[in-house]
Amino acid sequence: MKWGKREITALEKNLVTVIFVIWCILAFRLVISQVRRTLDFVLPAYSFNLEEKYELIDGGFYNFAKFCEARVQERASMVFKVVPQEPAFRSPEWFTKEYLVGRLSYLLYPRKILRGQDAAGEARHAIVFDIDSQSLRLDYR
Amino acid sequence: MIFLKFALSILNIIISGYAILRLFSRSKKELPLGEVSILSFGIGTAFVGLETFLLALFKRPLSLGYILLFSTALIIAAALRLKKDFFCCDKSWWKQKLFYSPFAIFLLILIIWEIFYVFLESASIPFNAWDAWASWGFKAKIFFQEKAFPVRYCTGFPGFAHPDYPVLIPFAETYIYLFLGQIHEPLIKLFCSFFYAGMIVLFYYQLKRQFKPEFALAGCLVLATIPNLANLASTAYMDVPIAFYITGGILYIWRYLKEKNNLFLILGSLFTGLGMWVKNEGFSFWLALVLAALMICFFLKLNIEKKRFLFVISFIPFLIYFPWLVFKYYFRLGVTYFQGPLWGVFDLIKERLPMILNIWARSLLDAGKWNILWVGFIIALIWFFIRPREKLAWIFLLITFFQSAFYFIIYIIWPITLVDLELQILNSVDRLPLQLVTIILFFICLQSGERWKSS
Repeated sequence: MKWGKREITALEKNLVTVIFVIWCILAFRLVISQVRRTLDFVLPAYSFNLEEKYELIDGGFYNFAKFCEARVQERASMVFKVVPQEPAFRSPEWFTKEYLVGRLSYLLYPRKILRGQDAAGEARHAIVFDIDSQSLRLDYR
Repeated sequence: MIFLKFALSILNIIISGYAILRLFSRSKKELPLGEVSILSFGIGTAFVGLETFLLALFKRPLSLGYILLFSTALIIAAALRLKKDFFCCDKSWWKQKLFYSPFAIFLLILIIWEIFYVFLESASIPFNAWDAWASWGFKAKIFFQEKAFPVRYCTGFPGFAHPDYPVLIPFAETYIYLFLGQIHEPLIKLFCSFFYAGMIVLFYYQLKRQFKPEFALAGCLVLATIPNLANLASTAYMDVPIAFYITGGILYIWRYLKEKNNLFLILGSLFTGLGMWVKNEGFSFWLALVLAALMICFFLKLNIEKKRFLFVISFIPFLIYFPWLVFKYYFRLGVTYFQGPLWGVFDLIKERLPMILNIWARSLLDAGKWNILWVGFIIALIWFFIRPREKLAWIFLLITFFQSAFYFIIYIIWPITLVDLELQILNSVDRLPLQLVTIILFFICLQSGERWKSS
C-alpha cells in the first residue's frame, strides 16, 4: 500500500482520536473523584466558620496553638523541646517534629519558636513534644 | 462582606492591569475581551505585588490608602492618555457564533466544571499544603502583620523558609490581606486558583488562532484535566502562577513569530520577566528561552528582525528582574547551589543522574498524576521527527530541553546528601514538569492538529 498525504492525514486523525478517547476515559475518573469530594467534603466545609475550618485542617493541634497564643505574649519566644530524647535524623518522628515547629511558627507568629539549648535562656515558655505519647504541652519555665 | 472586599481587590487588580495593557496596546482589534481580562489579571497582579513590595522597600507603611493611590493614579494617567480608546477591545466575537456542535458544548461544560471545582475546593478550607503556608503564605503573613518588609528580621526568623525566593506573589497576597483587613487563607487560595483559569483561557485563545474551536476546546480540556495541575491549582502552590506566566511568555512569543506583531513580542517578554519574579525557575525559563531563540534564529529561516527579537526577549525580562537581583545581592539572600571542585561534577553525575532519571520517569508515566500526557508527547515527538508540521515548533522542544536540563543540573550540583536529594526530587517531581505542560501540550496540538486547522 502506498502512503499518500490523504492516508497519512487519516492515520493521524484516527491516532489523535484514539489518544483523546483514552484521555477522556482516564479524565472521567478524575471528574468522578472531584464530584465525590465536592459532595463529601467541599460543600459541607462551607458551612463552617474560619476557626472551624482550621480545626478541620489541623484537628486538636490547632486548639493547642490557640491555647499557646492566649498564654504567651506577642513577640515573646518559646523553646521547642522533644522528650524523652531528640529523634533520629530523617526518622518519622523527626519529620513530625519539623512539621510541628514549622506549623507552630506560622500559627503563632509574631511569637518566636526557638530550638535547642542555646535558645533556652531567653524563652520563658517551652513547648514540649512527647514522642512516646505523641502529645504536646506548654510549660512555664 | 469579606467576599465583597475580595471581589473589589480582584477588580482593582484587573483594572490596574487593564490600564497598563492599554498603554501597550493602542489598537482596538488585537485582543478579544476574554483574553484582555486574563492578561489584565496577570499584569495587574504583578503591578499590585511590586507596588506593595516597593512601598515596603522605601519604608512606607503598607496601607490600603497608599496602594489605592498608586492604582488610581495609574488608571487616571492611562484614561487621560488614551481618552475614548481606553474602553476599547475586539467585540467582533460578540457577533460570532462560537460553538456549533453538541460535542463543543460537552467539552465546554467539562472545562467549566474543572474551573468551578478548583475555585470551590480552593475557597473551602485554609492552606493545607506545606509550601503554600511555609514558603509563601508565611511571608505574606509577616508582611501584613508588620506592615513592612523587615528583611533582616525575616531572614533571622525561625521558620522563614527560602529567603532567596522572589516575593511577588507573597506581596500580592499581602495586598489582598490589606484589602480584607485580616488574614483569610481560603480567599488567598481562591486568588491563586485564578491563575489556573488564566492558563486555560490563554491556551484557548492561542489555539483558536490556528485551529477550529472544537480542537481548541479539546486541547483546553486536556490541559484542565491533567490530574497534577487540577490537584495543585487549589493548593496555592506557586507552580501554577509561574506556569501561567510561562504560558503567557511562550505563547505570545510564538504568536509574534507567526504574526510579526510587536505587541506580542512585548507581551511575551513582559510575562517572561514577571515569571522571574514568581519563582526561581522563572529565571531558568528566561535562559532557556534566550538559548532556544538563539538556536532557531541561527538554524531556521525566520521572517523577522532577528537582532531586535533577541534583544527584546533578553533585555525586557532582565530589566524587569534586575531590581530583585540587586535586592538579593544587597541583602545576601543567595543560596549556594554548588560547592567543591569542578572535576567532582563527573562523579556527581555518575552518582546522581540514574536516580534522578529513574524517579522522573516513574512519576511522568504515572497516569494518576499526568494521565497519558507524556506518552502523547513521545508519540508527537517521534511524529515530529518523521513529518514536522511546523519547523518553528522546535522552539518548544528546545525550551523544554533546556529547562529540564537546568532542573537536572541543580539536582546534580546541589551540595546535599544523596538521601536529602532523593527527598527533594520526590518533593519536586510532581511540580517542576507542571511548569512546562502548556509548552508540551501546545507542541502536541501543533503536531497533531493538521486535520483541524481553521481555514
